[in-house]
Amino acid sequence: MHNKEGKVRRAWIVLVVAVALAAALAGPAAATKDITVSVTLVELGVDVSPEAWNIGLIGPTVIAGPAAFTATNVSEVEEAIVIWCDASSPSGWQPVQSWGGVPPLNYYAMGAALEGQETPTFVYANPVYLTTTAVAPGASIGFSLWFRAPGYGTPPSSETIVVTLAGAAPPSPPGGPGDW
Amino acid sequence: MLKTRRIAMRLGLVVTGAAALLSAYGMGRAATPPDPHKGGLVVRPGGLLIQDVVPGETYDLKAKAGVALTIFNREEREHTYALSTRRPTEMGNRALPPGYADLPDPSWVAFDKDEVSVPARSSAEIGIRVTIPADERYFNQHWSVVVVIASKAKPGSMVSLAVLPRFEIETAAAARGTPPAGRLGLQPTKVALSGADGNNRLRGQFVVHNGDAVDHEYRFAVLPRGRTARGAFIHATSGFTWMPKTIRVVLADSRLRVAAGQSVAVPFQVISPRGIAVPPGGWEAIILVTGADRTTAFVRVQVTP
Repeated sequence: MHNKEGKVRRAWIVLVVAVALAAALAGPAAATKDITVSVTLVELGVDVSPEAWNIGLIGPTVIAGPAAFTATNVSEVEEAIVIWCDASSPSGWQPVQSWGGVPPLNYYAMGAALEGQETPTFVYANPVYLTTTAVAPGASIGFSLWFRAPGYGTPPSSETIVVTLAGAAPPSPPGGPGDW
Repeated sequence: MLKTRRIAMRLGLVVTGAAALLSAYGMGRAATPPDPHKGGLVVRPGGLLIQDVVPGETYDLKAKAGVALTIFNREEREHTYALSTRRPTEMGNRALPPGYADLPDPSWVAFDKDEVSVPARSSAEIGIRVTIPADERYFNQHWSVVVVIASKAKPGSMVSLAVLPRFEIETAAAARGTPPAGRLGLQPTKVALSGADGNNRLRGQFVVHNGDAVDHEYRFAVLPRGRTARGAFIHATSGFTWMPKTIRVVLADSRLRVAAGQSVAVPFQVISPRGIAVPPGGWEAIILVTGADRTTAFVRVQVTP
């Protein structure tokens, strides 16, 4: 009788230890709970004028511009303005980051500069900040675009290059990660 | 010339008078709302902090938290908007807040639709789903992703409009298990302490993992109100308030050297003077860890009553 009770007690101890070990060895998945979602920026919004720049007839490697545009922060918060080009145009033209040399066929360059800036920033397929400081709600900024046509070749009869202008959270202060 | 100017002035007076009359009866306001933002694209929200995401689970933010993206087309014609996600560092490192890294795969954040047409002067709501793959290394992570909502160019239009809301995604904190993925990993990324009822010391600790192939020296900084000296900031967890200046988070050392592939525990204390009670929601402080290679990570220290 005592022997049987002892076996049952031992079995319970083994079970409890096994459960405790399993809990101790369990991975972090045991931490499951609901997510928390907070809104950190109420909204973002942008408008631009004009919507188009008709460059007209242009020869190979010729630079057109500047063409003046106005971007407006139409949101209720401060935001930065970001700009980029489509990775490829309908005829397969691609943006490059250089004004210099003879560009290869089907590669164009697009530059953008804020009003008062002398050196344009190259606009290519990755978004870049057009403004490094925040634009106030309702405020507008003027900027210009330049376009250099691709090198020699058989050009399409017409081509549309799409430039995208975006409202984004302002960048972190200068210095970059590690210099916070 | 003189005659023309006189006519213009008279017309101007008439228009001003009519507007004043309409306004007095509340009619002018209804006819022309005082909205200076008459065009463009607006998206809400412009930024989210999504916390406690458990790897291996899919979260529908609308179902879990009532949050969705709303696209407002304020233009006079219909627009089609394409939705996608990108790494913040594609815009340069300054697009990332301190302590966050690019979401390894931007497709882990997805939408109900990749494209939506919104009629003129209308809006559309888009659901957001977040899925971090099941992998123990993905606990204790602070990631960031940029959502791109861009109008598709129409014939005759060269400049398209977009907005780039940024989502910060923090996976669930876990004190044990495989070290977090990345060159610098902290474990756990959230240390919850309780019982600060004044004049006491709460003790906590986290582990610094050097996931790089070379040794690193790390610096520690406690950020008051989540803000660095240069003004970069980390958002507080919803419901928590920043730890007041009278409460001190104290680490034994301000620097730590960790050999390649090794881990070192970092103990710290939260010291509160007598007579200061923890608010119901709790206090939060940030310990920012910075490597010599400028990699950053942080721990949220939370004190509840």
